[in-house]
Amino acid sequence: MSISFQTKVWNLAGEGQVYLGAFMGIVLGLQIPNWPPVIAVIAILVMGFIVGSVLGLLPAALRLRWGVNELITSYMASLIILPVVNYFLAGPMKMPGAGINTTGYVNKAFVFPKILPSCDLHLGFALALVLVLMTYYFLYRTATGYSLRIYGFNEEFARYGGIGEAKCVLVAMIASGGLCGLAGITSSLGVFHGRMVEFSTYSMGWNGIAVALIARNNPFGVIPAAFLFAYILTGANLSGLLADIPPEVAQVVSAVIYYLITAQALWRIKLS
Amino acid sequence: MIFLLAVIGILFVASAFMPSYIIQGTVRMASPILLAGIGGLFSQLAGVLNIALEGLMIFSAFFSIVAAVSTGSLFWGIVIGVFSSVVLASLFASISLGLDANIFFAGLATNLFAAGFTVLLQTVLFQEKGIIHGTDLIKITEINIPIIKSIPILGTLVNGYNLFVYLSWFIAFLGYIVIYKTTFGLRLRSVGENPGAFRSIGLNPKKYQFIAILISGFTCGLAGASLSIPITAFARGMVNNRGWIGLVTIFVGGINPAGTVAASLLFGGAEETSYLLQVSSLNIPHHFIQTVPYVITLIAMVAYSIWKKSKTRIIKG
Repeated sequence: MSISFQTKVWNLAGEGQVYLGAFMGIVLGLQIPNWPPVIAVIAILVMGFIVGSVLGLLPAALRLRWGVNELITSYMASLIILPVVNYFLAGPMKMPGAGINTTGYVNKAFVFPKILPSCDLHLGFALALVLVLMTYYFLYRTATGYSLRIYGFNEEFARYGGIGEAKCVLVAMIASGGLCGLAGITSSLGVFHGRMVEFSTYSMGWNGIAVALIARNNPFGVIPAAFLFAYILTGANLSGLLADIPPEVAQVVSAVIYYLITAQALWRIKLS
Repeated sequence: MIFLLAVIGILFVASAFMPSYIIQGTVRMASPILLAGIGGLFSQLAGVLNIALEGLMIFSAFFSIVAAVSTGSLFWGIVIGVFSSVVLASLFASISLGLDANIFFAGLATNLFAAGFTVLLQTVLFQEKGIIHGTDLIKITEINIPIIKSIPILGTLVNGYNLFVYLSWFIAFLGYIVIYKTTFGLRLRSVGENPGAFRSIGLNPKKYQFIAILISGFTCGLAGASLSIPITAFARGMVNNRGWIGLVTIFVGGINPAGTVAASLLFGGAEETSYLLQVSSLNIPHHFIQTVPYVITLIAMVAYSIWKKSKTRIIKG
């Protein structure tokens, strides 16, 4: 998300990318139960990345070829993907005898091991940290990352400087979509013990936007921001269990975060 | 305008040999989309891409039912529903214009806020997460126009809808008058064209954008109420992305009122198709049927962009 927003390309397909990434990754995992675990996990992760980035590529290509607003096409693409995946979860891919709509489990060896035994902290977390480092390196230490940032900063200036629109939009959407897909498959392999549950990753795409906002699109800022947000979400879910407050309260909280962080005038008052 | 005439022509021809409930369903489904689209058109002309339409509709759909249940009057339900949507629109406008927030994030925030806040209030006030029913309320009735009723094709097309459908046509017509025949409309359009020039003649562009967003709030308020009031119930997710589709009608219609009417009829047809497939005996999984309106919206959006691009290429030579 940070990548696409730094380029000022709008990826609203996060929801669909996360969901499809999780689903296709698990489907692949179910097909290859006998592969060596390390190779299989890498294949699954690559699958998640690819399907996510393909879903990002579609709006990007439409924008470049015909100037279709990517904000709307990516949102529509996401709306189309969610029910289609749900169809497969409820029908062809459903685990026989399961009470909820879910796929079967992949080979246990593929599931991310837990780092701390007492909680859900799994290897996916380490993977996320590595990706943060890679994203930082990409955005701030490579020529392509520099072009992306310049493009997001000032489109006209980038064009005069010889930075192609096509390259920036494509790279941003592919990277952003791919990372969303990875997010989905990581949560399926980690939190959900190697299966794909219906609705399991809903609203993760929106939360990603909130996190990128809190971090002000800085890859390192994403880490504390994600922790803060995860804390809010866990709190919301707990309050749903303990009191008569629905977990939707988290939506309200993230909306208020969106509001407050984007309200730039507030920041200016504080600084002056 | 040609687009509108074409769509109305198709409806005329279709109503000659299709069952009248399909045609009526299309027109009925189109009306909330049209209301949202006209509101969004005002802000689009003022240079604001208003993606908060969805949230505004959710707010009004919820508050109109809550107000109708607690006052026992549909009229006050509609008034308070529209008012709530205008209040949310003014919040959105003050944050994005007054506090310089990014308009997209502020819009997304408004949508999220409306979706979350209504469910939260629903749980707190009614201890019910599913549906709020207003069982004691009298339902609004379909209006029958005496003479037109008996004319064969025209009778199916323009007769026998509820208040909101007629209101949506009226608002679309009013929108046309305001945009093209008043000083306010002229100024609104010039804000979108060139805010700098606008400022140089001593007018405040933000003021006009603010008013445009409030107008979106008003029409989306009617759109939201038109979903919940006729069935006297509110369910979460009942707005079902109609606000987004309304946003698309603006672009597909070529950013003018007539085009928006035509595009909303097109998407009304898409929703009616989706509904007919659901109740039909064809054995299509409901998951796929859900996607029909979005697929058609996506195709229309892309088709329009392709057409527009080829047209500008011809103009450029």
